[in-house]
Amino acid sequence: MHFLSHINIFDGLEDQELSQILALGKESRLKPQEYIFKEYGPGDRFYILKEGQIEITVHNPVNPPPIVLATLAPTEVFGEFCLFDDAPRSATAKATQPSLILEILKKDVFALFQKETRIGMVILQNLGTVLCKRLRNTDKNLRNHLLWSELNTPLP
Amino acid sequence: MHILNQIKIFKGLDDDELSSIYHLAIPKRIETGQYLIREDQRGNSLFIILEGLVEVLVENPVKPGETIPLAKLRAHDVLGELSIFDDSPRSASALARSATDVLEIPKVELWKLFEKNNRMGMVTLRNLGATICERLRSADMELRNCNLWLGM
Repeated sequence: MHFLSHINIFDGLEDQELSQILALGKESRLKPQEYIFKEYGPGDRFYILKEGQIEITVHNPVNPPPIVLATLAPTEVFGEFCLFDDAPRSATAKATQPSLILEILKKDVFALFQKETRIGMVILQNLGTVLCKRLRNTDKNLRNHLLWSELNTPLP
Repeated sequence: MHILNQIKIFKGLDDDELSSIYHLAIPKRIETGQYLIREDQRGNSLFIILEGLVEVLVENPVKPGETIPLAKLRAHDVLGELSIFDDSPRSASALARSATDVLEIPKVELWKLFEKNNRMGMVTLRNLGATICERLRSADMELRNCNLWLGM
């Protein structure tokens, strides 16, 4: 059983295809408190957490402590939106424990997608599905917030 | 010059590929005041606006019967595109504000095409993903500001 077969963005790929992706990866060890990337930094690669724990945070414009968005466990993927666009990182990723990550460069992934279009299609479909779910959730939360604040705003 | 050439989500496809998508398209006319998409209904197609004006809106959960306008879409805009990725119900309604001509592309047919021509699938899905990413980033930012404003 392939290590990558547990990862949802690779759902539907065969072992031989997973091996081609794995071959692109480079492992790095991280110490606790070590940053992997920072919000607004360039996004040219994505990561798979193999061991340890990663915290995803965003800058808090009002108060100093950053806002924690997620705490990632092994087999979770992060920084993957760079496969869709060239926008800067939308959050910061930092190890909170000794960790082992696999990093894969976007340019290498796209070179593979050009040769193996099925791999590209499957991964982009999986990623898109994740994105859609997040967009639907965020939109719903946002709408509820706006309504809530509207209801609680005293009339002039 | 292909008509689908001007549609953002098909950027990078060649004329033959665009024609194969065009063959799937069903032209439809929506009169002013008619709904093209209803919130919470199953989404089986995406739509490309050729001409007209469509308003995207959602039900106001606090004041039943009222709606909240989200966006106005015009020629060359695409709607219902989230249905390509998932089977969730429509997240919003789309109401024609003027007589509107659209091309309806059934999701099942589009996927059949992608299965035959993976490159087309890859290019289109990447374009779609990029537009969804952009929407997600701005919604995330807005939500964060909202949360801060409310004191979390």
